[in-house]
Amino acid sequence: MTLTMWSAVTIGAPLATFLIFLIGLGKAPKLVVGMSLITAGIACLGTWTLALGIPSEGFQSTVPWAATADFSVYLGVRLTGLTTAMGLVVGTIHLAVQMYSVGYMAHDAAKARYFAVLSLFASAMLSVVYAADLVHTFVAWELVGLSSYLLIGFWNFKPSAAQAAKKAFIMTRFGDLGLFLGLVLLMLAIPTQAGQPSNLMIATVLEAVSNQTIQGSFFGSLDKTTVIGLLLLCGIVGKSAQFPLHSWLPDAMEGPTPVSSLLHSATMVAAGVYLFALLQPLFLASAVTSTTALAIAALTAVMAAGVAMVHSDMKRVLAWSSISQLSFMLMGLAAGSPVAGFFHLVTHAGFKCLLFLTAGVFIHLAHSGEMVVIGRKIGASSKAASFGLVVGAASLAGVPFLAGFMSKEVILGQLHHQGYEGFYALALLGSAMTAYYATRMVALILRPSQNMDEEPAADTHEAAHDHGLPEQIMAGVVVVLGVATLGLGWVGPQLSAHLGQSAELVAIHWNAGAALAIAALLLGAGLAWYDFGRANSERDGFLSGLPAIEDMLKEGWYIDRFWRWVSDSIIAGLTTCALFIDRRAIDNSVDRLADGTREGGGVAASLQSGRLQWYVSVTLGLVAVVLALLEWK
Amino acid sequence: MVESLGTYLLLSSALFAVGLVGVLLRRNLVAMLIGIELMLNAVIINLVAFARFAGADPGNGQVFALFVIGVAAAEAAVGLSIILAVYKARGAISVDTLEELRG
Repeated sequence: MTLTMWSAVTIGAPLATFLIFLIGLGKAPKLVVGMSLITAGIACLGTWTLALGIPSEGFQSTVPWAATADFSVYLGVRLTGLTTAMGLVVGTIHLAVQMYSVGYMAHDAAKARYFAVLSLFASAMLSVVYAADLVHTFVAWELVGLSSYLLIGFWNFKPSAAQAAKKAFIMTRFGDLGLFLGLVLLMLAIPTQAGQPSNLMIATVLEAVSNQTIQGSFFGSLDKTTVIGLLLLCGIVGKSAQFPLHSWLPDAMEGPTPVSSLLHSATMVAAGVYLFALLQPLFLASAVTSTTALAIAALTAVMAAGVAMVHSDMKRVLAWSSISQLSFMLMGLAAGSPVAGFFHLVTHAGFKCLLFLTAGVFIHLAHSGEMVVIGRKIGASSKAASFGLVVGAASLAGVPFLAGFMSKEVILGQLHHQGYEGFYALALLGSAMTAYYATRMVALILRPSQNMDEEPAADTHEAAHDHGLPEQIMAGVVVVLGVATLGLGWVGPQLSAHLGQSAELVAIHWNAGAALAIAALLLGAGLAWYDFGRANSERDGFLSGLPAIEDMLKEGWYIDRFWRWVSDSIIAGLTTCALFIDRRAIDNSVDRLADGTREGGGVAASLQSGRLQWYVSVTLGLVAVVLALLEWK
Repeated sequence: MVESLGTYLLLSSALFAVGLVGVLLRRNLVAMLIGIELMLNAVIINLVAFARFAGADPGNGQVFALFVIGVAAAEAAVGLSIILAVYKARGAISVDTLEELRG
């Protein structure tokens, strides 16, 4: 098969599952689930084939989709090292999550819908990854947003899930508005040959950037590259849950856990970072844009890690951790490294997927997301989950030679190398905080407090659940993924070569920088161990000594409240205006019309006296008048 | 009395006025119907008088007069039966009781 056919199959196979569901086969859940698994397998196979099969100069295949005299849109795929590597991550993680979901959703009544939308999600994401035209990317990008909305709100009978889904959808739309404007401006700014329609093919855009043909400014003073870059950045900030549009991601935990796993590792939030990587030269072409991206990312990294340090719910800690890790990726990309940020995206996809799937096992067994409760009920009794948790958390924290360390170290090195010392310091602080919350999570779950085990009988009962087929599927996926994650740190050179860069870019230099990173890890982990892990520790963290800060972190830096205030005041203002117009203009005019009609009717009705002789008199009077007029004339 | 058009017109006007006053002032439906009959007769006098003094052929007016008498008879028959129906429904034939159509 040709590469074109393979790409079509890769994107189309999961979509076919969704279409099968749509035409009414949702009543046959087994069929949909089976088809979903098969198509996930096909898509995964396809992504591997594409990654291994692309020629070194890349590959592009498009068909015209919509064309006008000024502008054409193409539908098609563009295969480069970057796109195929990303596709590989998406395809693989998607397959793992699908297999895991068979266990997790085994008893859900609506699992046909779940698997169908999950497939749509993967198809849309693969479409984002492989699209050759930014308009195509944008369409698929919105499809990703839509399917994540459907999945977050999957349990739509829960008001909180419906609320979270709406929040995710609306907040990302805020960002997408910027993205859309950016694309429109980019379309206007792209130079064309005389007589030829312009297009937004990624290749065209990158060529224009490298030839520096996007010249001039909007409104006289705003540099085109900067304006477009900043607008596109809005979309990325929304999608990748960066400050100030980050607060939808923790709420997105209302969806089923495997969804969180997919959403946090390879799809949705990764789409933002991926778009940055795809158009990196465009962003780097303007110092303002790249510095803004760095500043947003550095701020978010520290803020989100801070919130993760105090939350008690396992999935929420992981969600805030994702926000923070996405910031690391953005920092790496915005600092100009062609590999660092993307490498972290790949490793993070692995260990964050693992952590969420592990969390799914724990929550499934403990029927609670609270880490203290999980620790008391399950603790270390589930071997597979404990293994996944330790591997995932260690990778997240950045234990040397594990995935998170290797990729984060490259980002830190890049920041330092480019002379962004301030951002470097923030990133180090973020690393220490990451180590803190990762260690805290492990300690709370695997070393539960001994003085609170009031229901020891429950433990054995819960443990019995560990042996059903669904649980074994879940545990199996966790173990396999855990082993894979252990080795993920070493793919750096291959990844770098695949992207067409030298392996030197991802090499670890054992210098003062590495020592600092390890020191940050030890500081964070040590502090967390002191607070939560060691015997007889207080288990409430050093931050509880600072209630003001702890409250602020628990409230997510009051950002949610800010947005609530903004939306409330905007909406309250709008409604006041609307109310005024409604009352004064619309109500009043309708009232006046009605009153006028009634008054006119009253006048007319008084003629209708019902007195026969009055009518006769009037008739005669009128005849007399008419006669008089005729006579007078 | 001089035999002229004016004399007949005077008579017909007086008759019409009497009939009109009867229609306008009497509350009794039968009395009103009688008033209408008087007004019709005034019209008949007019027709005959004009035919006699102003028309080319007096026969035309007389034919019309006969028609009007026929119509008046029919009108009286219809009117009286309506009044009878009103009386059966209301037990009274005063126009004051018939005011359903007042707005």
